[in-house]
Amino acid sequence: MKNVMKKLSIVLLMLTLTMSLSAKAKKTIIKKVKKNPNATEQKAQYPKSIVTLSPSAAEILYAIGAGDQIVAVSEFTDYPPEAAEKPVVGGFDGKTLSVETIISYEPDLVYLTDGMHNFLIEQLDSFGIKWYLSKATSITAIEQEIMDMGELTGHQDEAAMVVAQMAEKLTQTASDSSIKIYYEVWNAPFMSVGSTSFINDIIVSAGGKNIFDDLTDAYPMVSDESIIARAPDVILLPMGNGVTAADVKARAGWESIPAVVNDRIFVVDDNLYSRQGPRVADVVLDLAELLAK
Amino acid sequence: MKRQPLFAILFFLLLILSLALSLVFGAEKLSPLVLIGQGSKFQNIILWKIRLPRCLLVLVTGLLLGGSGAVFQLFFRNPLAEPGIMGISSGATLGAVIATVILAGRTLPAALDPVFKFISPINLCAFLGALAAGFFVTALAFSRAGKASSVMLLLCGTALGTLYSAISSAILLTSNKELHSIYTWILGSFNGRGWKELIFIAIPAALSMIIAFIVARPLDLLTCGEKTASSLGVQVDCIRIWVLICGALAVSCAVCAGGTIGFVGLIAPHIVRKLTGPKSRTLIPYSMMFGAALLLLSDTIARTAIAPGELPAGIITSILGVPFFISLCLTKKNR
Repeated sequence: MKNVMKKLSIVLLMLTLTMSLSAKAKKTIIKKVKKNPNATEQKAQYPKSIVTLSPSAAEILYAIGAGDQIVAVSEFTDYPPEAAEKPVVGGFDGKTLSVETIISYEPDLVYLTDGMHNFLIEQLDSFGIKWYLSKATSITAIEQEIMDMGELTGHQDEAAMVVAQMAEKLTQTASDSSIKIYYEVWNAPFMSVGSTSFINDIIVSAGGKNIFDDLTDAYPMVSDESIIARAPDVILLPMGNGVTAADVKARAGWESIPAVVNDRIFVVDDNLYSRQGPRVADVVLDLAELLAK
Repeated sequence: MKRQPLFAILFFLLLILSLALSLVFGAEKLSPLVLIGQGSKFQNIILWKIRLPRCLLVLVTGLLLGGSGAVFQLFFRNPLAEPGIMGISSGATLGAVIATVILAGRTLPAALDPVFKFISPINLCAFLGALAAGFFVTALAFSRAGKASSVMLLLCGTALGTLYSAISSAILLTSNKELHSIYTWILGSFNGRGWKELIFIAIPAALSMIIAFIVARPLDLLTCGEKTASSLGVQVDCIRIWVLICGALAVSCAVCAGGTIGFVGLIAPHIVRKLTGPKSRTLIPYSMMFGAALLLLSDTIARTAIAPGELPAGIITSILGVPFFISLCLTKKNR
């Protein structure tokens, strides 16, 4: 009997401890949200403390001149250099983000990425904080996003200028080409890009044809037999993988691929290829130049 | 007794048939002329340089998994035993995760190039991780010689396996850029594997299979329990260590070849036992052949189901194995 009472009292003690701690936590959150009670009344005011949760988001805002309106950025934000100096709220991936950290910066706009940060939307809504979800899966979508950001932050003219510059660069490359390109996302197992991937859009805009554009998965695992059978003219390797052209040439069975025969294997900066921001136009131009060689 | 040669021929034929099927079918259609050396240049390359080494690798992996599964089930007298549950697969995954994260974006010193010509860094670390995990488990057995019960060993192995998995997950969470590639590795895939991996695992694989055959006869005596076996002259502690070495080597080679592939080591011995009886002298070789056939079939399906995309073979073995397993459990009447 004594043992049971002892155990029961310990359990009760634990319960009261946890309840009092969680009550304390709830209080702090409610306190901070109360500081912004007029979120909906500030429609005419442009946001002054934006939290960006992806590197491309920060890049877009700086490009349209809204850089000073950013209060905190995510990890990996490295361009422009001023953006890297802002305080960091966490990683790009949703698992390394904490709503509490984001809210501690008292944001009036949170710039999210579709597929990564959707889970935050409900919580932000319940706290009455505005958010923008970036769905940039194509270059046209990015141009629209830049215009949207211009509207939201009060930099419509700059946004229009950025988009115009991008469009001009892109017209320089818009040519219907049939250069077959294989972009190697990973080499063990072999992974490439499908038609819904952003990188596919870059390839098409630069005048190439992705050999796996019949696959709808964004980053499908592919068979090396298919790579060889589809005989790509150019192979693109991401810099971050550490795989060199020499490694590709040494692969068994790859010697007769046109790209290997003609030595058209290029290492590209994969950081830029996944940066859905204004620099994508430069990426497309560079790729078009590579293809013309 | 008279059926034994018949079964041997049957299993062997099944193996050859699976090998032939896996060579013929794949992401790209091949005309049968390729087998005699005709056919377009690309088709020849696909068959001889890509499919053949890969299918041979799958065959060897299947032999290893089936054989070591049979050995473990015989030794531990536990129908759920397989080398993977001793934490060796998890140790391999941990090794691969550590390698992926350390290597991320870094170039290795050129001095290590000769090593990496034979095996990729990630596979090498997976191999070493599996061996280390196997070593820990064997050390446990050795340290409590005489007092160790096999159930204790299984429990320790399972616990260690959970620990390695937890550490792997923690490492991956903090470096999520590599998450997708290691996830596919964990699911088990032979994509892009060939002669390099086959040559690397040749010696340890051969060792593991030889040990499996050596312990076959003593394992028969263990079916009545360890005390009875030891009174019949079996050195149980010695056998225990040999069994663990066999399993550790087998799983190390298997994960090096194709990532963590589950179920083969578990299912193959059960099915074979149902067909040919529990005698270890037949169970071990037949499990090897059946395991190889099962894995070859799974890999062929993995390559052809969503061609030109590929599925991880580990998923297919689970999908194929589970109905077999359940139907076995439901029809067990004489056990």
